[in-house]
Amino acid sequence: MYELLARVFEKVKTRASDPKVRELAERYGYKAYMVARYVEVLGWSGTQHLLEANEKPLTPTIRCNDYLIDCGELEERLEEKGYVLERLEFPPLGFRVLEKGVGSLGGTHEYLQGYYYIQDAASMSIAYALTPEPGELIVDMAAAPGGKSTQILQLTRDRALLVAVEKNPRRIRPLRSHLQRMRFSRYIIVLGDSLRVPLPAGADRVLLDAPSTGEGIIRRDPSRKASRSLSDLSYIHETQYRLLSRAISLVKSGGVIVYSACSLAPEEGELVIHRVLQEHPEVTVEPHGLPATPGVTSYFSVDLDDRIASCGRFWPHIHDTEGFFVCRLRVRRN
Amino acid sequence: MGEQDIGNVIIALGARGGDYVEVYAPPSRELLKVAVKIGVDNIYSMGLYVGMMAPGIWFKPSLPLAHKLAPLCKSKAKCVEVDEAGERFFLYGRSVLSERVSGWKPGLVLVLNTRGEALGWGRGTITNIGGVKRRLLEPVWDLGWYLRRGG
Repeated sequence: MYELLARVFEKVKTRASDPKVRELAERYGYKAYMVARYVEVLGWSGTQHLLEANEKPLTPTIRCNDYLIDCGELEERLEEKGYVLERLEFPPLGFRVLEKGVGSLGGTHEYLQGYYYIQDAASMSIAYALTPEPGELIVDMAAAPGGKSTQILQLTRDRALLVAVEKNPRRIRPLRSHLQRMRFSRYIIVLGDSLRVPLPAGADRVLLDAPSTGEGIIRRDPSRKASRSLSDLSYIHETQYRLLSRAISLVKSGGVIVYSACSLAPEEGELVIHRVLQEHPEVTVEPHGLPATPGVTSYFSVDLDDRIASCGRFWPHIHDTEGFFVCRLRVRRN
Repeated sequence: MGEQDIGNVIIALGARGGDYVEVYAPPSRELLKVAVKIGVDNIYSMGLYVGMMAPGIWFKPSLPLAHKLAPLCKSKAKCVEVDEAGERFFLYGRSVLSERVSGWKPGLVLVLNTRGEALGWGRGTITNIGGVKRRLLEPVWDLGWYLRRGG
């Protein structure tokens, strides 16, 4: 196990045995180690707010596909079907679905035409941190189900070349469906493990929306409150670190990597970035430009690289989104 | 990457575990070059999905191809238009009576709704229903497939 992670875990275990932590964890149905970590980052009051926010289901949000339709027209068409929509302040093409209309949100004719994608606001923010440009070679290392892949091509008006990688044969089907439904064509879908499958070097940008514990999607899937252990967390951290190391090897000098994870865990966010910054002097952190709170730079008395403050996190109780970590990195080789 | 139309290049990928072949049109030479670096065996899908070929099916045109060709309906392509109720039937994968189809014609047709949006591919047929010959539009591949199956 990564030495820093082992040190942190010892302190997490100690904090998790605190009766106040155990009582809070029991009341909301969490494993105690999770609450111990929230208390470390947010304090008692913030933790209480987070746990309360996680009890409330997310209001559905959609991303308008302005590559195909004017978003005002989409709004009108869905409102004709009884939907009540509200534009999000950020991201710009997002809508909150306040009331559902006729049929399911994923079954309207507008959906089948590819005019929108059902996606959480935090998730649809990540592609903006990547700032993809037409003409670029972009790799999405963990692409299914395709929210960010479709958004990358949307932002570039189907003018980038996207390599979308997915290792799970079951999850690759919706990835292809979404890319086709939303009518993009400048992509290659690769079935394989991003750690091993041959991928083109010299990419302009790489997105690694890393596989995670899913601690950020408790509002959608409450089973995540208790389905993972510290050893799972350690395994996932290691996978994320290895994937990010591969991302570094794929990007050209001067290129950008966006690392994200739908998790609240610093072990899956800041600690992965800290480890990479320690071991890869060619990597620096850049502002991501999103309305997220700054990354944590001190965690259970471990001082992390100060630059990690420029990473960010979306919190359910602050941003009313899923929990998401995001960090924009630049690679410069001599 | 340069923007080049290389529309005459067609790639056929053997489907995984199936006996059908999927046909793609890569939109640029750059995409082809990257595909070669990755290795065709690792590629699941690439570029514009044109359609599929399988035993007993000479060629089944794809949904992306329907969208691509829809602008030609005004001039060159063989298209029909279904009314609002016909659109619902068609997207449920059900046949549509010719009363709901404007410009019904036999054989393979590109199907549009009243807004001119592509709904997929259909086939004009004449079927005996209760002793009466009826003209129908049968779905070949409709957008509802994204919900029913996808992939």
